[in-house]
Amino acid sequence: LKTPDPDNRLPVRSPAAELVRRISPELEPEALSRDLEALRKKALDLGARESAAVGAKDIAFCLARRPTPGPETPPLVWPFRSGKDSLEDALRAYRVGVFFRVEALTGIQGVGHGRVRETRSEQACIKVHEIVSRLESECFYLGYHLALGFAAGDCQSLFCAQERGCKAAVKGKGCIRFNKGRPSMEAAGLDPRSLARRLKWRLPDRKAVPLFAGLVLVA
Amino acid sequence: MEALRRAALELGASDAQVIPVADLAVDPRVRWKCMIPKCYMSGRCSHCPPHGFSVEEVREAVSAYEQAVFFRVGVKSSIIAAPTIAESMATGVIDGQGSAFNLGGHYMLVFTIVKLLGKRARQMGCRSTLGFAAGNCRDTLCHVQPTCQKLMTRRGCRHPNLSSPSLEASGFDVFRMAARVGWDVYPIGSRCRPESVPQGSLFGLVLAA
Repeated sequence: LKTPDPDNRLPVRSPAAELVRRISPELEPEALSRDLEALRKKALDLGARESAAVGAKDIAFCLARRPTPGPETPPLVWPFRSGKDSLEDALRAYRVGVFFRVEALTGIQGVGHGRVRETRSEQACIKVHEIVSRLESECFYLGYHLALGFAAGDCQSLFCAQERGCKAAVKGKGCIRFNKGRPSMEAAGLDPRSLARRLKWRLPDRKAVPLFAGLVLVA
Repeated sequence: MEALRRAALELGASDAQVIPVADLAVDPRVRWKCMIPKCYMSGRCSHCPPHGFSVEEVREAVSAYEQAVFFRVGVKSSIIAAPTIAESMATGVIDGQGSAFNLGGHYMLVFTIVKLLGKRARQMGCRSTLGFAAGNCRDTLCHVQPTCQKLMTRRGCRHPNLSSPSLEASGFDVFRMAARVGWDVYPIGSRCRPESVPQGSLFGLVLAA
């Protein structure tokens, strides 16, 4: 698709027809289970190092304290200008998701929900964004229309580094990279490292190799 | 309510049903779908998240009613899933094939039915009504305007007699609601193509008491 974004950092996907499944009146446990496994494998196919299906208890486990938003919230913690809606309530409504991490090199700089300053960190974050975007889209067309994905790193430094501030944080303006920029797990109050530990993933030392992970909440 | 249901069909809805308020699905996840990742209209219209009614406000508002008329306006897949629609949204430029105008006409029909049903209900003696339409009203009603007047000034909405918040922007899981009443619903996004789905739908809801 044509995009108004000349420095689009995510690859533009071919406009091939998608498999579109009809929305079912209720979630079907068997189909959901099959789809979760397929999505987990899809994450690996797309370049994830490890992936796992997670449940409601896992999601609740990694919900940590969210950074306090304010009217001047810097974009490094995502423009959470939605005082009337609780993100935590929404996150707790999900029953299943797919969590993954991408390979990171030793010595690479971690980002958390902060600015991405190093090229190798940037590449890792872009990869996480790409996988999250593809999985979320897949979920949508499979009939999980409420699927929601969280990536790694601050989207402004990844997609809008040349811009003067985040337009989405300005009243009356919208995101200029709509459908691309999304919050990191940390910015949404989700702690990827504790989730990885809970899943018994063998992670190297936090300082030596940071974790670049994404989470797609499916249904 | 049965008279309102019939009126919805007379006004151009493809299907309409009377449903109890208990069957309305208000879900805290829906409004976040407008914001993560950001929809192109998020933050630019007074009805679209993060503006508009919160889920709690909607739950409280609908609890004052007992029944609602839920209706569907069918849209041909060649219109709603036209590749030029996604391009129009991305660029803000109306496509030369008329798909955006055609789809806009369907949205306009939903806005109109919602308002006319509310008016009809009041004429029938209902004391209060509450209506929800489909999609953002700014593309349909204020496409040529630089900003949403209600959001950016104190002058209020330019089209108060037509504009309504959408079901999805108000937190209704409208796909699930439609599936539960037996209508075929398909998720249609920018990568969907006309051959991928048999049809598309736009939905509206009017509560009256």
